[in-house]
Amino acid sequence: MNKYYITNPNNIDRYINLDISGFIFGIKKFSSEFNNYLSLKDISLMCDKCKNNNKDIIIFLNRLYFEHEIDELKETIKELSKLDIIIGFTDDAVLNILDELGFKGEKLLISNHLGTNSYTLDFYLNKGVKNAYISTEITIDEINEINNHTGANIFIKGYGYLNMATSSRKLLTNYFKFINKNKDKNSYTFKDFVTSKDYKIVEEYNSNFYTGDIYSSLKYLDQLDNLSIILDNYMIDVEVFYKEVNNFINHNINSEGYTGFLDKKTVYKVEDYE
Amino acid sequence: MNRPELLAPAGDLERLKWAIDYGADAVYLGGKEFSLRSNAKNFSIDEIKEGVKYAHDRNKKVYVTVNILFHEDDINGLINYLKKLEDAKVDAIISSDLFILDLIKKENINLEVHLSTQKSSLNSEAVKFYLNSGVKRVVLARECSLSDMKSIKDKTNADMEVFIHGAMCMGYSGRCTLSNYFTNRDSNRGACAQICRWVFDLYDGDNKISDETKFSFAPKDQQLLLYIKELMEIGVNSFKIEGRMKSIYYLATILSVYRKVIDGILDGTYKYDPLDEIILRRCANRESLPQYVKEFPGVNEQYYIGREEKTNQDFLGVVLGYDEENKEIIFEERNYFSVGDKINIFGPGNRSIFLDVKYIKNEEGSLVENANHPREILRIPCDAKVNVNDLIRVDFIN
Repeated sequence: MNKYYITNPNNIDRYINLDISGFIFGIKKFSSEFNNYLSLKDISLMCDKCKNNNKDIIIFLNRLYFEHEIDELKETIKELSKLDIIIGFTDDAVLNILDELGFKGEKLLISNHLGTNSYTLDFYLNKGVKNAYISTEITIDEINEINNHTGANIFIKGYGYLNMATSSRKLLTNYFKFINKNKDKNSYTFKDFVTSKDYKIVEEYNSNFYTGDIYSSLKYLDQLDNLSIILDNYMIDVEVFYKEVNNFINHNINSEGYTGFLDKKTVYKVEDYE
Repeated sequence: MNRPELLAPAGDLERLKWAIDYGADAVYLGGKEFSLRSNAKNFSIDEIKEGVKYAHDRNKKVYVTVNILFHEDDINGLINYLKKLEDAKVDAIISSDLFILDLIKKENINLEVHLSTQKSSLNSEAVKFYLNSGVKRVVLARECSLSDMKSIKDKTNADMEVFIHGAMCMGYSGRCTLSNYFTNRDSNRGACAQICRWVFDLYDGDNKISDETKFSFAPKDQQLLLYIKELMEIGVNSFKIEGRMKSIYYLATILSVYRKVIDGILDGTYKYDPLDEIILRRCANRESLPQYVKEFPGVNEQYYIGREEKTNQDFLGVVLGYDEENKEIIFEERNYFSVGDKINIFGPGNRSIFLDVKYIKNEEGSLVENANHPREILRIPCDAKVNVNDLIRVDFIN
């Protein structure tokens, strides 16, 4: 039986009575890739609301942090650690800070592209990290193998744009400066000449690259079991998202959406290149 | 001030030897398995053993990259491979997947683990976590500034390795899978197709933004020549040069410059020489800049159109021997030059000779006007003795 987690909906009341396990929020400064970010005070209020409705709250600290940000990060984590929440982290600095604070709550490794085997997840499990959000660049078979071999609870992306890369460079700002034009927004699309496919690039704290198509694992839901599935509304229309959440919850497998690497293995040995 | 290690890439056994001869204190290399740069020749276990012997005989070190991000099936054979590396007496492995720390402990394999830059270590708290987990050295993310490095060193006293020269990724290392999405080639398992060097059209909705200047995100190379002293004062333990696929000429040139600078700082004789920058720049055919060390890279640190990747024919030949009786250099030609050209012969230990080419003799002893057949064995006159494996290049200095 799968569990579902929804990222920061614009109207939580619309989702709170659905058959989902919880919500994922981003916090100002220390999270990225959310439509909006909460303050510590907002998160505290949200905690009360979710707990009253028996929903988990996961806070995503899903950035890498520079040395000059560490003191403020520590203060933020100190406050977060007082709340009844699951803390997700990308940067191992967060894990070290939580350990030093003696945090007893649950932790979630947000591995981005790096969570590709059960052994790594078990390394973190031995450090007290019971949950792991794994890579989107692996196949269904690999997901299930990892899930069967690790003791950690596995989170996968179920729906949303896929992050392809993250750069600390201001790639849009730099480009617009070079061509001497005004950059009046933070999100653009770029087209590959070879495939004519569109992709997205968004500049916020970092420059993030995304697939042009919205990914959905709905088609393969029958083959994905005993997982926590994240449905991510970043940059997605409110109504489209709500409909898809219901499709997942109701097991309404009628979608032919973009399935990423679920059914396509990447290659890396020269003899495997086409 | 401690003597930092100058760490060079070695794409194969030949380049390992050149790197060591030209001043590297240590080299890093990839085996046939489990290593990023799947297109490099890479080393068999026997070659690793030979390389380790060559290095250890000269009191140098060898690190082996075991730095792919493992998928579930990739683990097969890993324990056996790590045991072979232990048997080969390599000085450390460079890994990014942390489970290797548990694995070598469980299997009682005596290997030191250095944490690869693929892990993007940017701060002291992450570094503390890695040290507590058993990592012996951390290769910092290229995005670290000098002040970040100093703070990390002060707070952790970690053994820190820092990239000082070479190509760099557009994204955080390990956090770019554009290659996977565009070509199905797995960037984190050594098959990166370098999508960051492609060009694209940029759109705002249906409105095309890019015109003749296509959208691109390729970074220029990194070059920290002017910051070596500061890095040494911070206490950085190892200065790393990028480029396991690069040529012997590239290796010898880059190493010669940095070796001279490091040694000069240590013995108090260092004086800034603008020629060093010229030599580094010409060698790579790409622009190189300090990138992140002082401030975040901006528009000038990236390529758009008109990148200055000019190839040059600076590398003229490899010295095979010196005929003391006739006072002639015997060399293997690499690029065209003629009688009357000015050339520079350089070798390990910062030796350098400048010459006007008075004549060129071919293998039959006949005089020729031009050296124009790469790999041909030729002779030119030189009063000063030169050594085997000295290199000949265009004199772009005088």
